[in-house]
This record gives sequence, structure tokens and C-alpha cells, in this order.
Amino acid sequence: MRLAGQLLPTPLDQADMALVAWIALGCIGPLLTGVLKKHRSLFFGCLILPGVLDCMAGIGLLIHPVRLSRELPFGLPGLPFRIALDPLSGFFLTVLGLVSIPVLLFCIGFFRGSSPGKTRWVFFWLPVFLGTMSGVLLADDVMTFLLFWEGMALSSFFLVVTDMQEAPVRKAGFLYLLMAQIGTGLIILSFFLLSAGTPTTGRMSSLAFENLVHGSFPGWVPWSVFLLSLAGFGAKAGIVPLHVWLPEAHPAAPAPVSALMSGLMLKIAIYGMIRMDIDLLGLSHIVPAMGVTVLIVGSLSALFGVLHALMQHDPKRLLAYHSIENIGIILIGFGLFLLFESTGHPVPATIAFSAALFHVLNHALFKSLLFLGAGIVMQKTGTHNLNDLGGLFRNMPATSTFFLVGALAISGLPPLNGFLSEWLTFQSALWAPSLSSILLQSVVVLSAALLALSSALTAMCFVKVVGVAFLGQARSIKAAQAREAGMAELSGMALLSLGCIGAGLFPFPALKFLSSVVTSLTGQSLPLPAEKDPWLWLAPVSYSRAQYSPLLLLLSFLLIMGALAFWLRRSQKPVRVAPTWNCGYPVRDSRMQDTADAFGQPVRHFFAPFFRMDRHLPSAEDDQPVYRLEVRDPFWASLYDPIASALFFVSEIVEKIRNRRISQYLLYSVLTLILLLLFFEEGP
Amino acid sequence: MNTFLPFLGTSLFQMLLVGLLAPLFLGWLNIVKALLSNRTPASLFQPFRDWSKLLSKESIVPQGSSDLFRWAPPAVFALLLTSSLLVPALGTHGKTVAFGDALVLTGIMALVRVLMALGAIDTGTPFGNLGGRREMMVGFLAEPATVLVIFTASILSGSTMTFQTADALRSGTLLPTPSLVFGGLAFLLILLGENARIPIDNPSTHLELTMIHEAMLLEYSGPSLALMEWGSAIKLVIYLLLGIALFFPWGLAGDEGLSDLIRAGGFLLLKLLTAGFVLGLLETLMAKLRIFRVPEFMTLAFLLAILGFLSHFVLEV
Amino acid sequence: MHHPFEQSLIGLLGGLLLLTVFAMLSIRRIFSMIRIFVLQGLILSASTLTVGLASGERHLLFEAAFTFVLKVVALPVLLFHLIRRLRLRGDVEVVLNVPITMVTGIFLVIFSYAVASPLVRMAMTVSRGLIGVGLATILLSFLVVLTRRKAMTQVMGLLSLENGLLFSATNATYGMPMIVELGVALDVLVGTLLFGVFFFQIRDSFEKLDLERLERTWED
Repeated sequence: MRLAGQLLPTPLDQADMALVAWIALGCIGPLLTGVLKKHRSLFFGCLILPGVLDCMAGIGLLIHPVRLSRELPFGLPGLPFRIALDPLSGFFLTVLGLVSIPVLLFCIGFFRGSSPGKTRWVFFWLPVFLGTMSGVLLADDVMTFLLFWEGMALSSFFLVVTDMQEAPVRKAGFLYLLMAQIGTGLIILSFFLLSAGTPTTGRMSSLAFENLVHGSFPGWVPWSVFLLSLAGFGAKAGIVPLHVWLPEAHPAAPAPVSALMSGLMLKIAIYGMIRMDIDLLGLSHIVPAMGVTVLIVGSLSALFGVLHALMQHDPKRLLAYHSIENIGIILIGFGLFLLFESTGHPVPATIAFSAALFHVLNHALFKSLLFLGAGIVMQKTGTHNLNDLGGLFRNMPATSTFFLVGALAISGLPPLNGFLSEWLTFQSALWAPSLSSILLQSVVVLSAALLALSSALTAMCFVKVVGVAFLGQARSIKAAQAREAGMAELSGMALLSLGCIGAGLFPFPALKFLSSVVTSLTGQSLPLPAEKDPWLWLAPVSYSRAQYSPLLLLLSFLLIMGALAFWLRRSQKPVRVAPTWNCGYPVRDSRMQDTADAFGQPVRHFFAPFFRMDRHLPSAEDDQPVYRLEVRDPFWASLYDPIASALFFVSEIVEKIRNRRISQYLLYSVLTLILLLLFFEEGP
Repeated sequence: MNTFLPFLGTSLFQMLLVGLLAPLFLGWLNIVKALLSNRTPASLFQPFRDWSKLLSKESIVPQGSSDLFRWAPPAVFALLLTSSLLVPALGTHGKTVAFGDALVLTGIMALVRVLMALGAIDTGTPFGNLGGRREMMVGFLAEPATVLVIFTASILSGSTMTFQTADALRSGTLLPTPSLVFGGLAFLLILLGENARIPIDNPSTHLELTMIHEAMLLEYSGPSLALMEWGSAIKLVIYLLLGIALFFPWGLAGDEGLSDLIRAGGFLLLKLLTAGFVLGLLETLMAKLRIFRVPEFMTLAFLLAILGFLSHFVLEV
Repeated sequence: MHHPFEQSLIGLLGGLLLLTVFAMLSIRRIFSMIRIFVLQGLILSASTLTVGLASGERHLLFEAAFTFVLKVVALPVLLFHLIRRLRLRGDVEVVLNVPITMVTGIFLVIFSYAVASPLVRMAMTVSRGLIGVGLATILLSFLVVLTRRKAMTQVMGLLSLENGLLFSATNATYGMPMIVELGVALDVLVGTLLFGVFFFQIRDSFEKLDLERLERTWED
């Protein structure tokens, strides 16, 4: 063991190497574009290696859970940079590695045809983006954390504006940057509050995470830290109402970038939230009301996200709204954890926490898969509109199949992975009766009901996407002439599909990995009985309470399916292809199929208060009757527009104050000075 | 391996039982409906005859549809037959391979619904689209209500495994608790909605404006159609069995001696006959709802389910 | 605690009472609404009877009988008579978005259960668990009154509100003193009669029993 430890680099070393390698490759990447003219895209292949390293580091750490930390030889004077790796960051590092490998594989093919100027840009920012994300996970002091956090925000901003000659892309980019900066500001504030509560043994070194842990605070500080971190990290993760940048930024960015942002960057924000609230602030400061807050925010985000996703006809915008929904689902799990933990019910708390972490992994897998699939469809058909697609299953069978796997996974359908995390969340919510008050019980059960509702709506939404884009008849020539994606793209998607299926079929090993994260943070272990064949059965708490075996489900299904197929082939039933029955109506056009907007109509009708609709109905007298419908995010009108106009109002006042003579400026200064002196009267 | 191999025989028996009960139940339901509307009923075995005829015919596949259309019927059938292992038919001691709990069952039902809707949309006709879209609409309203009903029942029994729930509730008093009354009513509405019965859908119409389930099956023919219809019948029976397990579990066998099982079989037959009569009566008495009233109907189910668990917290602790 | 059967029966009746108010919230026809009101009276009198039997409070038995006569026989007859005289037969009312009303109702139920939980701990009656149900019935009846446009249905809401009050009183303190209840019941009867007179007046002046018109006249 010792020998092996000396020969092999430790997980921290591996992660460190990966980080350095990514940033170094990013720096030489733009130079390489000139040298490797023909095989530019192979550069992405080089980027895979650090991803593999991250994976190894993360998995290695989860197998032998320890905390490794190190002081880097450089940094600010008196503020050395510190990095560390513990099971929590190890888990997120694993997710980072697992998702980055297939996405980079996909990139090899995806950027093949694009212009050198564009790829040079991506060559620099993409490795830096990956490197800074892993840096955030490794950071062990406030400065390092914020440095990498900002680096992540900046690099992703530049990736979003890859196509910056288009005005909407620039606008989306700036909105994203603005929200990211607001979030960072809130995070800095919460770090500030945290460090104020810790014993000051040397002002500077107190910025290391381990010095921040378990401070003692006056009563309002934990709440402030909690709310600030919820809003700050939530702005990055996309919780309602701070989600507005997501549906703008994702359609603007190239598909692999969207996949990384949605699959990974949002998870990094979740990591930050967990790190801040559970590790730094400490579980002793968590009260039930905080859990309830997270539950409500999570449930609303989940419902809001999926409802708006149903209204979209741009596939990437739709997926962006689904990211909001899935972040909501993760937060439901996290909120249940906080609630049960703070009321002294460790069993449901650990189940809920595992469910949230498991959903982090699952969402990373299927959402990046879906973004890649949507990206390839948009590249091959050249349209952003679902309503121009249709019938792609025939021309792009492999892409369609992978997309279908992702769609079934995100819809929470067994035996894929999305179902598992939702099932675990339900299992945790079933402990509601052990809570003391009817209000808490109702909140828990209602959030479980909202989770069920949003997962059913997700299924509807992906029936819409798959049905409109891949099935039926082509609605445009471009869709009819689409060609299958290349090998690199397909293998990337295939890997992610395998991930979705694997995590769905073998939940027990996955949860065993997770349990070391849970144990390291809460001191409790996940109650997973393993008397029966552990690779086959998953049972939180006990077999008689609830058990699930996805493999047996699949096995039984395949057996019956096989018997049916065998019988159908044996009896040689003829299959005849014939025109579809058209009810005697002479014309049947592909445009008579449902559009994406038509599909959302019942939901629009039923959940009308959630939308801001602008509808124009044609009248009988119109020369050119037009039906127009615009569904917008209600938060723009109710929250952001008032803020914007208030800001304009204030800036106009400031403008008035500013346009004065020099003497008045002096007056301002003197007044300020007097004011400050008043405050400083009682110095220490 | 020994966690499921010993149960293969009983599992096979359970699948066979549910698979064969399904057409019989459909036949009985049609008899009740015919008698109530003064028609001469067809034989109890009519569904068998229909389907065996369909199974011997050729399949017609619409132009331009993909493989999904062709594979949806066997997949739907296989999934439904598989999920019959999750509900107790005769005994509550779980001698079948119960590979999941009631929540897994709802998950499989959702998967079935998605596959059916996708198969329907694949035809590229307005009818298929309409059926698929409406089916998903009923589904997204019914699913949370189902989850809440399961929540109520499992809070009462401390388990989401249907076998355990039935076992725990079997020994309760005859007077139902308020939560079970609410839950049962909610479940009745869900059952009607999920299985395309009146007032949500009319299984015996092919009028464009009203159909949901039939619109999805419009393009299927031959063996595919038989599998789809058989699957739907199995689904109805599974829902009935689930309802029996959660709300009328008395009469289910406990320790599974042979005499116990035979008695349980008698009870099952009795319950299914009653259920068929009640369903037939409801279908004869009620009119189909407008499609925009369907959300209200399903919201009522959702609400009853919520009232169910709330009543448990308040009235029964 | 010594009456498990009675307690579960009362619980069941309380649940059904809640159900009837929800039915009132969602139903569009005045006729069915009155039928539900009859059912409500029946449930109320049955639960009063059960509480009376379980607790041994004699006056509750009288009250159950009295409730039956008033709420199941007298008032419905009066209301049906009114409807016939006003020719409201088959009148359909536009209700505010039913699902949203229902969800609001759920929140009211949770709220009243939560508010009632300290009361439940204080009360000494056999049926104290049902105080929350009574409160919820009252609040939901308010919701019925708030979401309806027609005068007739609003009166139905008020009547169901009175049922909720009676139910709460029975379960929290074994009812109010006999004389108070008799007084209240008489008030309800007289009130309904008066409403009837008003209905005729309103219809004569506005030709419709729609309160929206009334409001519009005030605004002008």
C-alpha cells in the first residue's frame, strides 16, 4: 500500500496535474491551430487526458475517503493558495471527468467544419473553462475559490459569445455576465460574514476553509450566510427567479459548451452551496425553516422550469428550462436533507442527500447527452425551430436513439437513471409523518407531489420533442435531407447513453460511492442493507419497506419481448407498408402534424397564471389572417423590468447631482467627511 | 441469485393469471354494459376471439413511420405483463419476483404511456398527434395524484411495497379511516382517467373529437393492435389489483397454504365481478366530459389524495 | 380515547364534511349545490349524534335531531321552493378557474389544521381532532362565497359556513348552550326567508340574480 502510494500519484496530485494540464493546453491551444491546420479538431482529443485523470482522482478518493490538502508554492503575499480534495469535491470531480470525456470526444467531430477564427477562440477558452471548474472544486481557501470561480464565469462568458457577431448572442452573453457577477457579489458577502464569525488567529490565514469551519455566530449570521449563498450560488445554478440568463445563454452557446455549462457548471454551483452550508457553516447552524426555504425554492423552480420548457420550440432553449427544473429537483432533495437533518431524523436525511447527489450525476449525464443531440440536429438541419423538423429517425437513427435514451432518462422513467434519484427522493419524503408539525409534513408531501407533477410534465415535454423532431413526417426540406452525425459525435453520445443506462441499472454501486460523501459530511452512513445480492437490489432502509431491482425489470421485459419477437418471426406475419388512412380527406400534408407549440396548448390552458401570453387571433375580416402567440417569462415583467426602471430612475438622479460646479463637488466631499467623522466618534 | 430464482415459477403463474384475467374482465365489463343498456351481450370470451383473429392477420404499417411504431406494441405489452408482478393477486406474502414497489409501478405506467404516445405520433397523422398529446395531458394530471395515493397508503402501512401494504391493511378494522376513503375515491378517479374510461374517454367510440386512447391505436392493425388492446386490458386489471391491495385487501391469502389460496381466488373473482359491475354502471350512467373539463376531474383526484394524507396527519394520529 | 369506533366514525364524517365543501367549490349547478347542502346537513347531524352518544351529553342528541329537521328538511324545501319561484332551474354559473380555487382550498385546509393544532391540545372533548376540520369548513365556505357571482350560490356558501361553525362548536366544547344554538338556527331560518325576499327584489330591479350588475350600479 505504501509502495503503491509512492509509485502512483495521490488523487490530489492527479487532480492537480489535470488542472495544470488543462490551463496549459488552453494557453498553447490557439498556437496549435496554426500548426495543425488539417487536424485542428484532434486538439480536443488531447484535452480528454486530464478528464481521465480527474475521473481517476475522484474515484480513487471515493474508494479511500480521506482529506488531502496542500499549500501551493505561489499565491498572494501572506495568502498562499491552498488546494484540497475530500470526498465531496472528489465526487464532483468524478462527475466533471465523466462528462468532459464524452463531450470532448464529441467536439472532435463537431468543430471540424467551423472557421479557424472561431475554433482558435474555443481552443483557448474551453480548456480554461474545464480547468477553472476543477479549480473551484479543489480550492481550499476563499481567495483561491473566488479566483477560480471568477475564471469559470469569465471563460464560460467568452464561450457563450463564440458567435459574437450576432447581436442576440452578445446580449445573452452580457445578461449572463451580469447575473454571474451579482451572484459572485453575494458569495463574497457570505464568505465575509463567515470569516467574521471565526476566531482571528492571524487575519490572513483565516481565509483557509479549515479555519472557517464551525465558527460561532450571533443568531442572524447563519440565516444571512444561508440566504446569501442560496441566492449567490442559486444565480449560477438557475433557481427561480434568478434563472433568466439560462434560457438566453444556452441557445447562444455552441452545443458542447451548453452541454458543459448545463451538465457541469450548474453542478459546481450546487457544490458551492453544499460546501458553504454544510461544511463551512456547519450542520449545527441549520434550522428546519432553512430546509423549508430550499424545498419551496426547489419545488417552484422544478415546476416553473418544466412549464416553460413545454412552451418552447427552440430545442436548446427548451433544454435550458429543463436545467432549471432539474436544479429544482436537486434542491428538493437538498431541502429534504436540511429539514430532516435539523429535526433529528438522520435516516431520511441521508437518503435525501444521496438522492440529491445522485441526481447531480444523473442530470450531468443526460442533460449533456441531450444538448449534444440537439446540437447535432441543429447543425445537420440548420434550424433552431422544432417546428421545421420531423422524421429524423429515418436519416439519423443513431443520433435519434441516443436522444431517445436521454429523453427517457430525463423524464424519470425506469429503468434509466433519472427515475432512481426521483424514487429515492420520494422514499425520503415518505418519512414526513415523523415530523412534528402539520405544516412541515404538508410542505414535504406537497413538494413530493410537485416533484411527481414536474416529472410527468417532463415526460410530456420530451414526448413533444422526440415526437416533433424525430418521428412523423419531415416538415421541411432541410429536415428531410439531414444526414447522420460522424463517428466522433456518435461515440461521445454513445458514452453518455451508456452512462445513463449503467447508472440506472446498477444503482447500488453508485450509491455506495455516494455514501462516503454523505458520511464525510454528516457522520451518518446511508442505510443500505445488502443481505440480498447487492448488485441486483436497491433498498433504502429495508427490503420490506421498499425495494427496486432495475436489472430484473429489464430482464423480465426483454424475456417477454424476445418471446414475442420470436413468435412474430416464427409465424411469419406479413407486414405491409401502406399509406396512412386520411379520413377520406384528399390532402394530407406534413404540416398537418402537431407543432411543438400545439403540443403545449393544454398546459398553456391549464397553467395560464404561470405565463405571460401575447396572443393574436385572426378574425374573419382579415385579408391575411395570422395566428401569433408569444409566451414570455413572467419574471421579466414582474421583477426585472421594475428593477431596471428603478436603476434608470436612480441613475438619472445621480446624473443631476453630478452636473454641478467644482465648488459643489467640494461641498459633497466635506459633507461626506463630516458624516464619516460622526460615525467614527466611538472608536476602539 | 437465490433472491429471485426460487420465485420464477410463481411469477410466471402470476403473469399468466393477470394476462388471462384481463380479457375475461373486459368481456364481463362489456356484458354488464350491454345488459344495462338493454342489448344482448356478447360472450364472455369475445375479447379472446377478437384478438386471436387479429393475431392471425397481417400488420399494416403507415408509410414513413419508423421502427418505433413497429416495436411499441410488443414493448407496451411486455412492460405491462412485467409490471403485473408488482401487485398482489392472490397472496400478500410476495412469492413473486417483486422487483419494485408501487412507485416503480407508476414509473412503468408512465413509460408505457410515453411509448404509446410516441408510437401514435410516429404515424404523422393529426389523429395520432391528438391522441398522444391528450394522453400525455391526462397522464401528467393523474401521475402526481397516483403518487399521493400511494403516499397515503404507505404512510398507513409503513411501506411502499404493495404486498406489505396489503398485508398491513388486511388486519385493520372494517370501518375505513378517512384517509383511506379519500384515497380510495381519488384512486377511482385515477383509474377511470388512466384506463381511458368514461368520463375521460370513451372506449367504444371512434369520433375524432372525443377519443384519446383509440386515437392512438388508429393506425395499428393485426397483431400490433391485438397486443395494444390486450396490454390496455392488462393495465386495467393491474390498476384494479392495485386498488384491491390498497383499499380492499381483506380476503387476500396470508401464509399461502393451498386452501388459503383457493379462498383468495374466490374473493378475487368476487371483487373483480363487483368492480366490473360498478365500472359498467358508472360508464352507463355518466356522460363523457368535455376535454377541457378533464383537468378539473383530475384535479379533483389530486385534491382528494391530498385531503387523504392530511386527514391522516390530523385525524388518525 | 375510550371510544375507538366512535372516534373513527366521527373522523370519517369530518372528512366527508370537508369533501362536501370542496364539492360546493367545484360544482356549477345550483340544484346539485342544494343536494350537497342536504348531504352536509345529514353528515352534520350524524356527527353530532355520534359525539353526543360518545360523550353522554344529552343536549347534543336534541341538537342532532334539530339539525336534521332544519338542515335536511326545512331549509332545502325552502330553497327548492325559492328556486322554483325564481325560475332558476338548470342555472349554470361560471365559477372562477376551478383547479386554482381547489388548490387555494388545499392551502386553507393546511392552514386551518396548523392553526387548530394548539387548540386540539387544549380541548378535552372526544372529537377534538376535528376542530381543524371545522375551521377548514368555515374558511372554505368563505371561499365559496368569494368565488361565486350569483346571489343564490352565495347564500349557499353562507349556510355551509354556519354548518362549519356548528361543527366546530360541537367538537371543541360539546356545542354552545342550547339556547344560543336555537337562536342561531332560528336566525338562519329567518335569514334565508329574508334572502328570499331580497332575491325577488333584486330580480325585479335588475332582471337578473347576478351580483356583478349590482356592483356595476354602485360604480356608476
